[in-house]
Amino acid sequence: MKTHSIYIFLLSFVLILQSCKKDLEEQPRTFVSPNSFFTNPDSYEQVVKGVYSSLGGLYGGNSMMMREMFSDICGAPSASFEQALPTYQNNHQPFFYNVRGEWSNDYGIVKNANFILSYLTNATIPDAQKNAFTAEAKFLRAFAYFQLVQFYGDIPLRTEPLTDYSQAQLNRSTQEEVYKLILDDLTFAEANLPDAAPQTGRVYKLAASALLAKVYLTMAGNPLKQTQYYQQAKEEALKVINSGRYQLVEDYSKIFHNTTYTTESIWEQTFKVDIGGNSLQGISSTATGFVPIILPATWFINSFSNGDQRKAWGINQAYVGPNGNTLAPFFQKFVNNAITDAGTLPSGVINAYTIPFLRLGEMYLIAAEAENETNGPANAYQYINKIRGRARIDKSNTTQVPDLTGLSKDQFRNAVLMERKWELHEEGSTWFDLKRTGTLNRIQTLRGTDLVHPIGDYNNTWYIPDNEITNNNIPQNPTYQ
Amino acid sequence: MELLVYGKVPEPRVSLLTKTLLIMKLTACLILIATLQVSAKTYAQKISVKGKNISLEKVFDLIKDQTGYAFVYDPALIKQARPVSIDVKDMPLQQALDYCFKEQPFTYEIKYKVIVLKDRPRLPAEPLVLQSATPPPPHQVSGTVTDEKGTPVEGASVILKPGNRGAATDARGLFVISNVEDGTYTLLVSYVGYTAYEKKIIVSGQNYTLDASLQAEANALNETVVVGYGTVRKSDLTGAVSSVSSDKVTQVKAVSNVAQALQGMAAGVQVNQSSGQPGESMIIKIRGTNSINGGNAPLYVVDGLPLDGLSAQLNPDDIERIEVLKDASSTAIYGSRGANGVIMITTKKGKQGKTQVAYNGYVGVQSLRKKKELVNAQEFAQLQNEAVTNDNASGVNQTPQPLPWTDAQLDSLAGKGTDWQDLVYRHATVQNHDISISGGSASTKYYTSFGYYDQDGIITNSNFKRLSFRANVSNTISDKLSINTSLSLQNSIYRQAVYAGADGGGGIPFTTMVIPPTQGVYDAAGNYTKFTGVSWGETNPVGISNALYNPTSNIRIIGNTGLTYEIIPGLKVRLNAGVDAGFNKSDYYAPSIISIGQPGGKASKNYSNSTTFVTEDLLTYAKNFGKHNIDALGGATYQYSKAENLNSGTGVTFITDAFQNNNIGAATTAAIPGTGFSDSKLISYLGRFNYNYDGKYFATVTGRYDGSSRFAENNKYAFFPSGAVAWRMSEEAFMKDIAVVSNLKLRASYGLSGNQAIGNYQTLARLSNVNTIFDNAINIAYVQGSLAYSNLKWETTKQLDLGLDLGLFKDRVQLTFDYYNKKTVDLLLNVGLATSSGFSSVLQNFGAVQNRGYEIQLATVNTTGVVKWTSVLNFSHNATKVLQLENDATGKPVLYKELGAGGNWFPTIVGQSMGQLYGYKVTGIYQSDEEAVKNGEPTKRAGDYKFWDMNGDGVVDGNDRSTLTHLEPKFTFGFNNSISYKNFQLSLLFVGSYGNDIVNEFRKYNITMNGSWAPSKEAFDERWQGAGSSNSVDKPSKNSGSSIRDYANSLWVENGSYIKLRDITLGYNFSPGVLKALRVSAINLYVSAQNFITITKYSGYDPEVSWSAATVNGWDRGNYPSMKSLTAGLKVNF
Repeated sequence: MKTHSIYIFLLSFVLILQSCKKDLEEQPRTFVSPNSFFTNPDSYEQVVKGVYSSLGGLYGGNSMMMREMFSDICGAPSASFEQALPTYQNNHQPFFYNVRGEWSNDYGIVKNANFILSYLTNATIPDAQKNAFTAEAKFLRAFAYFQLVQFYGDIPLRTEPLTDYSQAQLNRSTQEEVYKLILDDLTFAEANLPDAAPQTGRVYKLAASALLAKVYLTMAGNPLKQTQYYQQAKEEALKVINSGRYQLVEDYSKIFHNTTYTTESIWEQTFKVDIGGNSLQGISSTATGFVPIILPATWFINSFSNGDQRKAWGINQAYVGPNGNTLAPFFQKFVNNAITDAGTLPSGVINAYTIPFLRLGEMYLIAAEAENETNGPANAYQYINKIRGRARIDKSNTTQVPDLTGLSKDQFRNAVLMERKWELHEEGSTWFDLKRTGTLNRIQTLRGTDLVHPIGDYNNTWYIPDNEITNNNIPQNPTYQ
Repeated sequence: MELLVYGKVPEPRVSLLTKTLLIMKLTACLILIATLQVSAKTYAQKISVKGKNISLEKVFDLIKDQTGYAFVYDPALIKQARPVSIDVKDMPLQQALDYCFKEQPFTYEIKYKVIVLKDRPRLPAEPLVLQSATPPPPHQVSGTVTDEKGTPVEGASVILKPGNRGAATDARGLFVISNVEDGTYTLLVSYVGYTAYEKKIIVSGQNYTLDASLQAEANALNETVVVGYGTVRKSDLTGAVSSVSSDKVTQVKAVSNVAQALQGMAAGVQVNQSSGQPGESMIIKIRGTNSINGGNAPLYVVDGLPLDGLSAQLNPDDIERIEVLKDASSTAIYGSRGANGVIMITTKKGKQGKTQVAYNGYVGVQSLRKKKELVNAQEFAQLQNEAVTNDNASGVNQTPQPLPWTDAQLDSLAGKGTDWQDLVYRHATVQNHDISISGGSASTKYYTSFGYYDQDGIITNSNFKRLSFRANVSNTISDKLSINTSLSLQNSIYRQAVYAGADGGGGIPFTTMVIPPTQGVYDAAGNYTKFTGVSWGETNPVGISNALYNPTSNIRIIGNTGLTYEIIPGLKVRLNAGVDAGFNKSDYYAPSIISIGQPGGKASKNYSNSTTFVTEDLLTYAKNFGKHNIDALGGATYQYSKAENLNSGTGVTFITDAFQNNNIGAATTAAIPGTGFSDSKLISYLGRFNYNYDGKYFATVTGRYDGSSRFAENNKYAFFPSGAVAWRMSEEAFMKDIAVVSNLKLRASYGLSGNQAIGNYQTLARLSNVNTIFDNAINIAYVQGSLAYSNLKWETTKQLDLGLDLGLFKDRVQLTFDYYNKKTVDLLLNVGLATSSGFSSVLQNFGAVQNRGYEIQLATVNTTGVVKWTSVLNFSHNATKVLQLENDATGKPVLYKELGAGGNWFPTIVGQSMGQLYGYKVTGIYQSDEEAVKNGEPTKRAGDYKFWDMNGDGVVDGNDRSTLTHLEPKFTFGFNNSISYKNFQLSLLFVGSYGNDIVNEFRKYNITMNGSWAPSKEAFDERWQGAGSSNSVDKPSKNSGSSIRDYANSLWVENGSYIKLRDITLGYNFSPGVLKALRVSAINLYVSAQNFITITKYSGYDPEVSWSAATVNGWDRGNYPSMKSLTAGLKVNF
């Protein structure tokens, strides 16, 4: 009896001892390890597609505060949205969510792109596929760095994936170096991307050309002022315009409120119709007693020409809310009034309207601007007037949004900048345009005493997030003066 | 010895294996029987026998026929039997046998349905007096010894003086001292843990019988205390352990949860009832907050089985006692899970004796503790008018707006309007019923209970219902072998009111507080109105509480079995195995008539289950070598935990509400289902060695070697040692003369314990799947989720404890004092990374936190006499200090860190306790525009809040933020009193907290004068109405309060000190005469009140409030208000 129980005890003791070695190894079943994942071309493609997943945050509320609200075209935002009002008042801080959010979102794209690029190097898949995947990842990496360099100036330039967390620190590189990588990546993308995207929403050859046009235009302006790039900006824009692949949508209002590409679309973010995901409804629609974050400044509403569809449709000034009151004017580009009519709250909104990253209309404006800068306005009118003509409510009435003519180079420059505000507001480039053209001071002129700090040169870059400064030990951008 | 077997008896000699099988069968059988609740029959065998001077064998025959019990006896013995005269009807077996054997020269013992006859035990103390000189006198002194509950006391020593003749009581509490000469004697009965019984008796000419009832000592040092993997006598304890007995656990009514029952009952244990939602978990912290990320909940061990979390799934009525292990010496035996303290729960067991059936139940009504005074409809309308008037004048309205209300309308509002608090908060009932049946023989003991708890919340449709069942069975198979089984089944249904989202998601307490009184519940079309103070307009709280369907049901099965075998005297082997299995289902349907159900109804259904299997093999050895006593333990344990879930995903927009969530496939927006799986293992080796010399000097050494699957390859195992010494000074000769001091013990312990409360798979490189949309369809894609991190290891807490136990005046005053100093190092901390790496943080071992404090428990017997008054005062002080966080990229220590739930409002700052409110100090109201410009807030105007320009740089910005709170109490206390007078008992429990702030984020809405939110009456009266009018509440305007809502600021901070009459109970015990008439053994009737008096300056509903994050203590975001209740109950022992 005695020995029996000792045996039982010893047996289970030994069982426990035996089991430990391999038993404590974790065998997860809901995710995989990278090393066991890459087995076929599809696996590489699924990781390339993963890079796109961070794009969704790019035009969210926090980012739009920096892209649009802190510009001359917007009015005072809702105070109830955390950190919106101080951003409007030029009193944002390095710890603000928008400052941190934009940074980490863009670097998320960089991280995911670098990751797949490193695995693609040694991938045993057909070269054509390998090059196409590489080009796609490089395009997205360039796109992310293009956002970062415009917002923050000199930034850490990471082109390899981390293999250990101890490598997380990296010094800032100059803007020139960042732009060099952007150009390298985009040139490679332009050369190696397929002519047609494998799926709507993914990038392809002409999307790279269009992005290059935008990048060259930006490099030619403030702060790099490498004006030689105007020529290339124009060439890339014309490459797109003349490709014959795209057509301007006849009615401005029909460019938007679609759930898939139009004839004008180059690259857009698309959504699943019954799930939605376009957050711009929530930050620009209005309701009783509610001020949105992105709303048109009064001067901007009044600045449009007569008969401009971009005002008549683009800014809804006569919306009668569910309770019968006429509500304050709002940008209508991405707002589905039927949702507001139904009394649905932002949390219940299903809005699947596409958000353009690149569209043909902008290519005309780039061509116009670059042509004016290189050769003066003479040959530039054709491009800008194409856009103005399209904006007319009554296409046959040329007194509406009249064609431009007889302007000096400077006048044309101002005209095209204004045209961009009318045409491209709420599409993510408004603040970039102010910076690029050295006109950030317009915010000072328009907001005056609403600003806590006066606008200065330091406004050309946003603060680098506080946690990046401490965790990476890099110097902060110039601060308020 | 020849044995005569009367009836059928199991084979007495069986091998261990067959015996084990037999036990298993038997146990299963018993559980089954208990389940069927007919166990009373098997044990409380009733017999009816009638006859005069019949032979004992004849009686045996009758008993055998009626009960099936067999008799075993030596024929020689039965020959000495005297005939019996008996006339009993439905008498319990044991009682009948007692009667039959009363006059017999032998006695009996019941062992597994077998009644064995045996010689009367020999009396231990033979008479020392001149026995041979005088003939034996014919008289004897006999009787029974019971405790205060009437349970027989076995082993009590009975001495007759003079002469020092003695006896010991048997299992039935019987003693016999024979051959007593006539004379006057003093009878002394003593038993450890009980006050000595003394009585003068006169023996003259006949036998003398008496019944002695012993009273337990006020706080018996010989009481056994449950510690990890064993028990120890309280006097031998070297560690810091608080014990709470069953009557204390159930003292406060309307409590569903073990943690809540501990409030105010144990020093060093801080319990915060974070919300009044029935069935909700409490925030419980033992000796402060050790961990920033790793979790701070203690480990729960129920009947030896460690559980992964426990809230309301245990019936408090089943609890016999709770021990809280606090210091390293006590907790190190739980190694990697001991750092936050261990709560050892022992459930009730059956006792030898007749079957006891007890009913225990109460019903009560609960209500809102305090209603807040808000503006009425007329005042609110006036506020709206003022806001428009002010905004028109100041240009905030670019085009002047008309006033919303005319004078006539304003007048008509007098005495009208909606009182939302009255509509939302109701009187809610709570009831609890518990029936237990217990009993046992010398070999088999059982306890079985059935409990029903049903508590409605004061918000419509919030409630908690629990059905619980328990069976505890123990069986002594032989002197060497015993088996224990306990099984707990619990089924609960829980409905939570919407409150966790605070101002978002239609939080009911939040909205109730701020929704305008000028608004009705329904609009003209009969739909629920919306609260438009939040930009998106949420349905009013009446609508949300009525229409939302969100029950969660839980089935939890906890069972364990242990087999103990004594190999040689003192050396025992114990094999335990247990299972804790939980099954959860949560339903959700929000119809489109409420805002959170838009656009067309939202439905989901989720299932999850978890299983933990634990097996423990232990070897224990206890032996005395003269004055050297040793007690050693060694063993190995294995634990495997697994969790799986299946979520339907949320289906949106249905053609009808009729489906609720039963036909999610019919959703227009299809739900995307998800599944999850996770598992972990823990393999441990443990040992403990207790030594004491002569009951004076004690030493304990404990160690546990834990291996966890959660940690990285190189750090899977860790060792947690501890040591403790104690000195019972009062046992020293030099102390014996100091009569005042009845007990004095000094204790010291030091050791390590750990924390592994992080998620599974944290150290692995992962590729995670994400959804991207191409071609308007979901595409599965993958991104790099994390890198492998092979250095992750345990968070370790080093703790020093110095303790003192002092008993004065024969332990009428008992003081326990403990000082501790804990340092938690290698914190499992999400260390920030340069986000340009694409990773924001990685879990690393970094930083240190210190918790220092002291605890005092003072238990006193204040009066004895007719009025008996005892009290226990607990007092705890703890100071948490973050000593170190990670280093930044330059190697400099990071002094400020934002963590999860607290964000930048509650950062963790080195040198302070964690999670303090960090923000701007509001110094008043600007009385003029110039004042605002001068102070560095150029965009503010007269009537706006003035922020302090702390650094004096002329601009108010992020650099002017500082720590605004001290959220950790300077001390907390519990003061429990029991007073009895004749048949009445009164108990009073006070709990309190002193020196802590509360962040009343709620208040930011209650002082907003924007005309969208209803402010409190007090704030309304204090509003700014022009220069010099107010310096506390800003100007009515649509921008009112925007700055103090978005930015953490000092206006949210309030004094959170309180003292609360947690419970007052008045009870009455029916007197024996009544009981006899009713044929029950005890009835106790009581009425009680919970939370009826709270003294506090806090302006919110209740100072006991806390948001979800354990590191932020006392953050009120519109939590479910706690309730007060009145209950009446009844306890009956049949």
